[in-house]
Amino acid sequence: MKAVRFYGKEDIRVETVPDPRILNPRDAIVRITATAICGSDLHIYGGYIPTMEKGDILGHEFMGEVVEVGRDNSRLRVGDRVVVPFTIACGRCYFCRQELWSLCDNSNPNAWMAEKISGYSGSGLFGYSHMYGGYPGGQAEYARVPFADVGPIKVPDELSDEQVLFLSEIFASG
Amino acid sequence: MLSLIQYEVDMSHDSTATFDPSLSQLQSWAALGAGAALLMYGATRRSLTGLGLTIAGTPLLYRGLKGRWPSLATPAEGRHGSGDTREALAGKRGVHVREAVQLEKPVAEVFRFWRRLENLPQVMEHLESVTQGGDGRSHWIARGPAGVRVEWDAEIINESENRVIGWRSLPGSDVVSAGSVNFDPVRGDSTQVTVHLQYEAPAGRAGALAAALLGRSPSQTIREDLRRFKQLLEAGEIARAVPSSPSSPPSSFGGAK
Repeated sequence: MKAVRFYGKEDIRVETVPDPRILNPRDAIVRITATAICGSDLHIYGGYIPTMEKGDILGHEFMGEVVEVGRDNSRLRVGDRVVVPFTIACGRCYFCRQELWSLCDNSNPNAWMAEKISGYSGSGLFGYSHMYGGYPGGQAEYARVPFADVGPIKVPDELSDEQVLFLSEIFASG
Repeated sequence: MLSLIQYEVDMSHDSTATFDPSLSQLQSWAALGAGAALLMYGATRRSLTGLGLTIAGTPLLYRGLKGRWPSLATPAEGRHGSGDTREALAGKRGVHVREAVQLEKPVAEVFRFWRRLENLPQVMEHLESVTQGGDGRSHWIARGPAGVRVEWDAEIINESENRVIGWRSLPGSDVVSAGSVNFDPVRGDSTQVTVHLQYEAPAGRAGALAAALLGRSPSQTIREDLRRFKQLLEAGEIARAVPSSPSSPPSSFGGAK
């Protein structure tokens, strides 16, 4: 698939990379139908975000159609249209139970990095540095969505992509 | 649990807590060189001063060869490596690591998972397998980051259901370690798991070499294992962004607490 990748300050390239695949039981794979460039992508573009690595796939505002689901994901079906939130949340830890999704304890495999820098780690994030998990983002043809039985919002057919895409982040974060 | 014994291995690597391995090696070579020079110079002087220099050089030579200064301690105090945890880890001896994690799971479920020791390789990075005998004893196989295989036998010496598991390694093992895991209910239906691990710091060339190669922080290693433990029990899977396992902190990050 084609994807937007970070290579350094003001060096972003569109390249062909391997398609994502299911890695964990609650995953889903989404074929992206709409994605946005966020103001905070400019911080990455400007070289201000630590722990970005060459080749990282950008994009944390995206939506699309579910094309594959993991075996433990009973909430999504192939063919569902979904908007995917920026924050990756397990849905079961203390913070998720308070609906404080961005503080999820379990979704950042590199939490130790964020702890070294900030004291505590937030949740994993799509396309936003390795200290927030190193998850490939959604400025691509496909994306793997972890814990896809928690975050993605199903979209009814009568709403267009443009009407709902900003639920992924900017509508909520302003 | 024993589980953590594996970290003995890291520890070695890790002995950042107690000594800097590369520095230790440097000191050994320096001591060896200085000791040998003093000895040779002193022996060729054929004088009282020469005798004094010879005597002065001896402990340096010992330090260079053995990796530690000669000790006047009694044999019982000085004897490490016997494999007896009560001897090697008594009082302030050994390295201590404490880490804790909280899970939104009832204490009985958390205890049950851990007590089935065969489960632990799922969350403990370097652990390959655990086999339990029927007598509270178990056999542990771990592989260090450099591929070094380490095996040990352990026995549970203290167990109270849903509260605590205490263990120690048995003589003849590659590691000398003891520790405990406490399970405490918090906030009603949640559990705090606290690991207290103690192990004998590896001395001598092998330990120093391993430390130089691997140089990781034992407390960070245990912290990451507890994090995976929490993820597996709470979320049902261990988070990862790429097909391989999550990255671990490099040696430059964190030190033993």
